[in-house]
Amino acid sequence: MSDTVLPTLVYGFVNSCTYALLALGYALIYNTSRIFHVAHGATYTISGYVLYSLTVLWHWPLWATLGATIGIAGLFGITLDRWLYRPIAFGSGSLLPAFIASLGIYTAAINVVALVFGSETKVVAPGMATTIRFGNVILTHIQVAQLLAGVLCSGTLLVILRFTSWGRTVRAVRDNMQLADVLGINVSSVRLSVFALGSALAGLAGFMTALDVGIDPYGGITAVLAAAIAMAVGGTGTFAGPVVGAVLFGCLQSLLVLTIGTRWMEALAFTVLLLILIARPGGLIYYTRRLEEERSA
Amino acid sequence: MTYLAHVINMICFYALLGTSLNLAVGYGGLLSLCQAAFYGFGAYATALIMMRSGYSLFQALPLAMVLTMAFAFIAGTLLTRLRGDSFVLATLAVQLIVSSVLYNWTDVTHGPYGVSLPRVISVADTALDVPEGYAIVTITLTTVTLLMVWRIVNSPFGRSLRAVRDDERSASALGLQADRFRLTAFAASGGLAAIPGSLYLGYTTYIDPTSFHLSESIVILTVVILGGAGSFWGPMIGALIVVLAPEGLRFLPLSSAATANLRQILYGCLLIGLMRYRRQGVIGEYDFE
Repeated sequence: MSDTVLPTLVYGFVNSCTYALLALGYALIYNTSRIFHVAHGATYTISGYVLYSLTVLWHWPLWATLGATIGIAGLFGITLDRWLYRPIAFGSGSLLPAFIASLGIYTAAINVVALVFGSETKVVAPGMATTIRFGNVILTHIQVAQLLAGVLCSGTLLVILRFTSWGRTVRAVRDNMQLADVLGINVSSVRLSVFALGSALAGLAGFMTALDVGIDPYGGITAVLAAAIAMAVGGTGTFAGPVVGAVLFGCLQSLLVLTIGTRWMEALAFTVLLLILIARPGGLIYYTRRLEEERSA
Repeated sequence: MTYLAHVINMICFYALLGTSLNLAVGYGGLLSLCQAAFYGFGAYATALIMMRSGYSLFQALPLAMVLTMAFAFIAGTLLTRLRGDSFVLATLAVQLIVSSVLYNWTDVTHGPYGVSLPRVISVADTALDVPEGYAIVTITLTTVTLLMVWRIVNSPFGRSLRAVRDDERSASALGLQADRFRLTAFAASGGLAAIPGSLYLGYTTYIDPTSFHLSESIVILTVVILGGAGSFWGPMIGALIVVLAPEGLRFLPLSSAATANLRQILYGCLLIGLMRYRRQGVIGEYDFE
């Protein structure tokens, strides 16, 4: 038992890296726009299929595909904000209409994908993967890449958000959009940049997952739910929270696989996170704000 | 004639599902994405009660409804503590958890193989195994249920529920216990979904988890929003459009999988268009403000 715990935790952490990318992208978008962006899952799914089309069907080299995938994902995010969310959210005091529209985008997008590519799983890198051994932990090259991408991207992004002027602007919009607007910050352009970056992160996550285990049209909703719950559990008003939530979720999943088996993993992992969310609606990383600072909506 | 009866049956199922969800979404302001979970719970509960006890469909239905309502009440007790996005997120989680359980609890639900109806449905020794005969049962039960819902939404309870939806703070100041109204609406909405669940089981004589996915919840939500959230007749209009609009796809030379995808694309686009141009649907009063 004890020699399986460490590898299990490492595999959990590798999965967490993908969740962290998704959750961080989701948190960037959610914190600045307050939109429950379900179409994040569509970005993720579409990216997987972009990878599949470019490498398997058109034989592009992997590095070019990576760039193209991230670029397309970012553009998709910008398009959604510019032509859909902004017109809807600006004509309304509530954010539910934008959420329902996002649900519509998600439904339409994954069914277009299913119509074009079919419903079965598409494998991008078939055959046995080459592995590297660290003690009794064996990782494939793709898993190492996932680990590096997750740690480096999350780390860099958290540093950028903390120390650069762009990061300060994003945090200002996150904390109080009206005040930021009054103080002369161009909220619309911050939103666009955040949608581009957040969707690019979802694109990277979709790319990594598709490369590792393949892609099917219906996994996007589980991914976006994992991201949203990771953010809600970690703490909504922060950017470190989603990363913490994602790591918690990934490791919890692995431990459940080890103790109970894969059959109940998804249901139990979501149940546990749901209970944490209900017990602590503000998230694990949470500081009390004055009532007038409390975010509306 | 058989085709017409089939369409009438489908319209009744969606009218019932839409009406049940409307109680939570339209009257209670609780945007829920787990209606298909309650629908599936009701259908499976009916099938299992019939298998284990030898009851007929119409004896199992009330029992299944009580069970589903109890499940919705327990889920609602936890979920209605949350507000806004967190609530929607939690209902989405419940939907995925229930789907996963239907797939994986193979000892009880037979997983992806699904459950068949143990006996043919019959009323007064007349077997109802054709759509025409079944439509009579469906229309009768739909009418009864709708009358029941009409009484609920026009009662003092219904008015208080709308007051809580529109302005929780003022309603609380008038002494209405907002949480209690929300919870009751959520539980009633879940329990009502068991009726179309049982009827659907009796009609198709076979159910499997694919009928109760998130995509089904989205279709039910489309029925409510399209017709008009918070209006009694809204879900009926929504059900008419949602069932009839994709019927045109039958005439295209497509596989059934492609038709299913096209239907979903149509519903997705309807949701986007409605949010962009007409939030209250065809005749609704609540526009999610």
